[in-house]
Amino acid sequence: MSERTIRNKVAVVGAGTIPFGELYDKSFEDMMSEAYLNCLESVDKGIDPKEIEACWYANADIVWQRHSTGAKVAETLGLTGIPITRVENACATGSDAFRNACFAVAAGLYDVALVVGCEKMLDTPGGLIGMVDLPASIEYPQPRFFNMFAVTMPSAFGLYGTRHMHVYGTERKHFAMVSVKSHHYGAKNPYSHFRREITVDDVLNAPIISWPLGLYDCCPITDGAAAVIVCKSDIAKKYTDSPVYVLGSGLASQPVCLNLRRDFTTMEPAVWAARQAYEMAGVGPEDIDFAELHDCFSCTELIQYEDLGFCKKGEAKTFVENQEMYIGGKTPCNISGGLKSHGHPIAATGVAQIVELFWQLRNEAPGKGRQVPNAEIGLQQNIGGAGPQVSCINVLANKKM
Amino acid sequence: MTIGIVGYGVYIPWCRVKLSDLAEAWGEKFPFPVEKTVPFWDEDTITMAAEAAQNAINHAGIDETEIGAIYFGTTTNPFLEIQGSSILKTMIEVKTDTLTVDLTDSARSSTLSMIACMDAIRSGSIKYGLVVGSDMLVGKPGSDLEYLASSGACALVMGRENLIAEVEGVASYGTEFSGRWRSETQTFPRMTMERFVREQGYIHHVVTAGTKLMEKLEKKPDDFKYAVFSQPDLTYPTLVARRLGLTMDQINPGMIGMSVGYTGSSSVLLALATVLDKAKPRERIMMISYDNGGSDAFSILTTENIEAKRQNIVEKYLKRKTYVDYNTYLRFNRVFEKLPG
Amino acid sequence: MLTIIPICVSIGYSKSYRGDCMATAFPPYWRAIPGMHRLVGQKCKKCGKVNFPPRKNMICTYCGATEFDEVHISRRGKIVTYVVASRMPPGVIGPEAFAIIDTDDGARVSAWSTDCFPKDYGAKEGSPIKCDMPVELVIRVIGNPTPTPFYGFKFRPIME
Repeated sequence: MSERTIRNKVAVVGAGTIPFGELYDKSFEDMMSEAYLNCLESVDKGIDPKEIEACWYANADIVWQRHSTGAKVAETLGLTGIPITRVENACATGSDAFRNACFAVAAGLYDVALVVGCEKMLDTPGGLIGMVDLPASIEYPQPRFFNMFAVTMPSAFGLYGTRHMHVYGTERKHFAMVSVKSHHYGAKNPYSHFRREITVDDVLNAPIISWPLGLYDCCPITDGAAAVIVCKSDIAKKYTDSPVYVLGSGLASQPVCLNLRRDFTTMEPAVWAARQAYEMAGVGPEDIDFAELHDCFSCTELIQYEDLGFCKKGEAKTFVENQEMYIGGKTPCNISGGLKSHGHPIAATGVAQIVELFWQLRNEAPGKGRQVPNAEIGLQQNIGGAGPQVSCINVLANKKM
Repeated sequence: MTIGIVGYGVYIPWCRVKLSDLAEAWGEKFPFPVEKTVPFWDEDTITMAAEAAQNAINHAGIDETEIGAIYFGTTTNPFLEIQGSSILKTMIEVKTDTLTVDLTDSARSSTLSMIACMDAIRSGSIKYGLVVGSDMLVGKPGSDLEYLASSGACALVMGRENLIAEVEGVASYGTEFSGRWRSETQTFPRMTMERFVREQGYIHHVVTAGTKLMEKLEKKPDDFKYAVFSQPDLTYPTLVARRLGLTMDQINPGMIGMSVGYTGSSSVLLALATVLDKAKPRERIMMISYDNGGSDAFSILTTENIEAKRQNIVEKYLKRKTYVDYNTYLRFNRVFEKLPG
Repeated sequence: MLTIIPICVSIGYSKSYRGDCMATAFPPYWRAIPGMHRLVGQKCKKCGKVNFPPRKNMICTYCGATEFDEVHISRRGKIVTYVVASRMPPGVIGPEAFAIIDTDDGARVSAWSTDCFPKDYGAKEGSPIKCDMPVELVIRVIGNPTPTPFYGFKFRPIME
C-alpha cells in the first residue's frame, strides 16, 4: 500500500446536526452550539470537550455575515486555546474541512479533532440570489465583469444540463425524477428542510428559473449546522464500539471562468476527485453501497451518476428511469433527501453529509424507511462554485478495508 | 486632389413597429405602410455606431490604425460629459493618438462631421478619417414627433486613395432659423408650427443649399442620377425635389425613411448608403442634410471602384426584421424611465 | 410547507452595488476594456489555445506557459451550451439566454443573448436558441443602461 494515504487511519466517533430549514429564530451561534452539543451526545461512550485538540471550521460566509474566523468557534463552543482553522472552498467547504482534519489526525499531530460547519443564509434579504449583484459573485471575476450581472447558480449548472440533453438525449423529466426521489426520502427525514413529496408533473410545471431548471430543480436556501468528531483509529474504541473509518479523500479544481472549461457534459473536478478518493480507498464505484451527492440542482446529481462511475457515460437517463438511485436499486443516492430536500446551507452541507454517512453505516438513520440495508461503504461528495469549480469527495466505511 | 468615401457601413436595429400600430394605440389612424426601427433594450447610440463603424472599416479594407480621427455626429449621446467618440474609439483598434471629435446638438452633425473630416484630410493632418452618424431618437408618447423618431447609424471611412465615391463639392447654408429643439432639462424634442418649420425651415434651407451647390459646381438637376435628403418627414423630399427641378425617379431610391423612420443625424447618411448600394460607376448623387436652420449640400460622384467593392448592406439589415407592438416599443426605448417619478 | 421562491426583484436587492459610476472610472472595469470592448484574447505560443479574458502576467490555463500573442477573437461562432434565465436584475429586460460559444478561430467565450426573444424554452421547434447554432458576437450595453452604460459583447443569431 502506498504511503500517501489515510486509509483506515482516522475514525469518525461522533456526529451531530440540527434540523435544517429557515431558522429565523436561531442565530448563527445558536445553530452551531446545538449541532456541537448533539455531536458530543452522539459519542457512545462519552467524550470530554477538553479532549478535542484541534478544530476545522467550515464556513463559506457566502452572504457576508462576517463569521469567518476560527475565533468565532472558540467563543461559541467554549474551545478557547486550541488551533482552529477556518476552511472555505465554496460549496465544497464542508468536505474540505473534514478532509483536512483527517489529514492532521492521520499525520499524528492530534488525537481528536472536531469538524464543525455552520451557515446562516437567511439573515439578509435575497440570500444566495443576492449574490447576483454582490461582489461576492466575484467568484467569477472575469466573466462577471464581462457580463456585468453575474451568472446565477442555476444558470451556471444549467449549462451542463443543456449540453447533456443535447448530446445524450436526456430530458427534463429525467432531472425531475431525481428531484422526486430526493423529496421521497426527504419527506421521511426529520432533519430535512422540506418534508413533503412531489411529483414529476410538479417539477415540470414549476416556474422556470433558468431553463432547463425550474423551481423544483433547484435546492432551497437553508440555514443549518453540523459537527463531527474524528480521532486516530487506534483509539476509536475509547469512544465507541462502532466507529466509522475514513477510507479515502479526493479534491480537484478547475477554472472559475466558464469559458475556460472544457467539457460541459461532465463535471470534471468530480471525476478527478473521485479517482483520487477511490484510489486512496482501494475501492471502485461498484463497491459504493450508497452516496450523498451534491444535488444543488437536479441535473448536477444526474450527471454525477456518470461522473462517479455508478453508470456509464450517457446512460444516466436509463439509470434514473430504472430507479437505481432508490433504496433497492444499484446505488441509493441522497437518502437524506439531498440538497434539494434536506437543504443546502453551503458549508454545513458537507459536514451534514458525513453525519448522514455515520448514521447509515451504523444502522441508525433517523426516520422510517430511510435505512440503506447492509451499508458498509458510503461516499460523500460536494461540488463547489457557480458551475462545478471544485469537488471534494470522502469515502467512509464501517470497518477497516 | 480628390477626397471622398473609401468605404461605408450601416447599422439598423432588428425590431420594427408599424406606424399604424402606433397610431392605433392613441386612437388615431395612420393608413400608410410606413414602419420605423425600435432599438433593442440593450442598444444605445454608441453600440449602433460601433457596429456601423466596424462595417465601414471592413468595407473600406484599410488598416484601422491608419484612421487619424473619428468624427461622431449625434444628438443623443449617452453622456453629456464623456465623448461618444472616445468610447467608440475603445471599440475599434485605433491608435491612442487618434483624434476624437464629437459633433452634437444637431441632426446635421453627420454632414458637418464629413466637412470637418474632409478639411483634416485636405490639410494633410490625417490619412483616413472615420465619420459616424448615429442617433436613438425618442418622441414624447402621443405627440406628432413620436411618429417617425427612430434609431440607426451609418459610418463612412473618408480618405484620398481607393475611393468608391469622390466628393466633388460642398455648399452649406445656415441661418438663425430653428423649429425643433430640446433643452437640457427637457426629455423629449419639441417642435413649433409644422407649416412654418416646413416652409421656412426645411424647404428654404435645403433648396437654397442645393441651388448654391449647383451654381458652384455649374451643374444642372439632370446631371444628378440620385438625390438623397434628411427625412424628418416623408413628404418633405418630394416638395424639395419639385423646387430643385428633380424628378421622383431621382429621389425615390433614397427614401429609406419609409422603412426606418427618421434616424436623426444618420438619416441622410443612411439614404446615401441606400443609394451607394445601387449606384453604378460615374453616377452623381446630390446629398442634402437639414436641421434647424442649416443645410449642407454635397455632390458625390461614384468612381470605377464602386463595382469592385459592391455591397448590399442596407438591404441586408432591412430584411432582418421582426415586428413588435407599441408596448414593447415603449419599454425598449425606456420611455418609462425617462418620465419623472 | 411553503416553498420560498427566491425573488430577484425585491427590496434590499441593491440596484447598483457599483454605485453610480462610469466604467472607466472603476479599476476592475477599466482593466477589462480590451476584452470587453474589442474581444482581445491571448493565444498561447506553446499550445495554441486562446485564453480569454486577457490579463497581464497571464498563465495559460491549458498548459501553464507564459508567452502569448494578442489576437482579436473572431466574432462568429457556434453555441456549445446555453441556459435561458428568466430572472433578471432590475433594468434588464428578460428572459435572456446565456451561452458558451466556440468561435470560428478556436477560442471559447461566454455571452448573453440579444436580438432574439428566447421565451420559448428548450429545443422545441421555433425556439430561437439551440446547441450548435451559429451565432455572431456584437457589442451592446451590458446590464442596465441607466444611469451609466457599460459595454461588452453579446451574441445574436447570425444575420443572413
